[in-house]
Amino acid sequence: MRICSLAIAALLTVSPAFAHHSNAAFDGDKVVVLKGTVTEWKWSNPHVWIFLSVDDDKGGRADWAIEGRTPGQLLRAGWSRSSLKPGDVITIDFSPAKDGTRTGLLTRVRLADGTVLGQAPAAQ
Amino acid sequence: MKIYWTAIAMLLCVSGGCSRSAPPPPSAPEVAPTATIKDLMDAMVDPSAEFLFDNIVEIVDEKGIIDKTPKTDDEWKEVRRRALMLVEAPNLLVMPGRKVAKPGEKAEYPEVELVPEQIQKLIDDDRDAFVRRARRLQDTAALALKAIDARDKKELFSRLGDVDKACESCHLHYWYPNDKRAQAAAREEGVD
Repeated sequence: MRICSLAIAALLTVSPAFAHHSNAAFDGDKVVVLKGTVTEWKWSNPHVWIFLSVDDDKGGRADWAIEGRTPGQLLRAGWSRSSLKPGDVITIDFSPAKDGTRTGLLTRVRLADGTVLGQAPAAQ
Repeated sequence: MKIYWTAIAMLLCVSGGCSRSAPPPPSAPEVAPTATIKDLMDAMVDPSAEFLFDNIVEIVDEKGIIDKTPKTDDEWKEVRRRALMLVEAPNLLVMPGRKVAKPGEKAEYPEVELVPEQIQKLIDDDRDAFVRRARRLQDTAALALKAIDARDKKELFSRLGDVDKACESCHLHYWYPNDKRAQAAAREEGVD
């Protein structure tokens, strides 16, 4: 039961309450860059989600949840549902949540092979 | 004799025979909106959309691919119920007399969101535009329902993307028009 409670608490900590929302919960003036390991990749409407585990510099790990745009938008920007998989080491840029929770709004991802995936189609 | 018949005619008139028009038909019972648009979004639209978004999804974690899409008849029935809510909720949202929010309710993020009074004014000033946007949700949800009836998961995932666009189009106009980042994303997505 305790594990269950902890898991629910962790989910509440890293996920916004509703799928539809403005971006006001995120600080658009800041960009955080983190390197971490993908633990989960959710290809979903209305936003995709990247869950990753990051070294917390204290000998432990911290779990982050980063929200991206819609699958439709990301498809046009060069993503696919197989763009990420658990275990991938990525560098991720995002706007952090204003409330200090370990969530953010995706700007771009750099894969281990150097490929950069943004959120908008590359300019023609 | 002539006076006699005239008197009878007058009596009939004053008793109602020639002056009363046909009785009015009984008035039709009317329904009155009680919940606000915010209430309906909270009670019907959000939970239904959330359920569909959360269940027509592919998640990959260390255990492999978790396919949460419906598999049994009961699961498909539940998904259909939620889609039906999205098809019918717009009829309630646009009911004349429905208010946006209760008096005193505030915007959660006033730096980008309009307050309920501003949203109410936007709707009241152009009800046709509001109905068109609600209809867009209804139309996209109806296509999602069609995909559910065909049990076509790929089509349903795509149609839910259109439902999201319909939601976002309305939200960007009435709810958070000052969210520049959301507006930019919407332009790239072709949301109008």
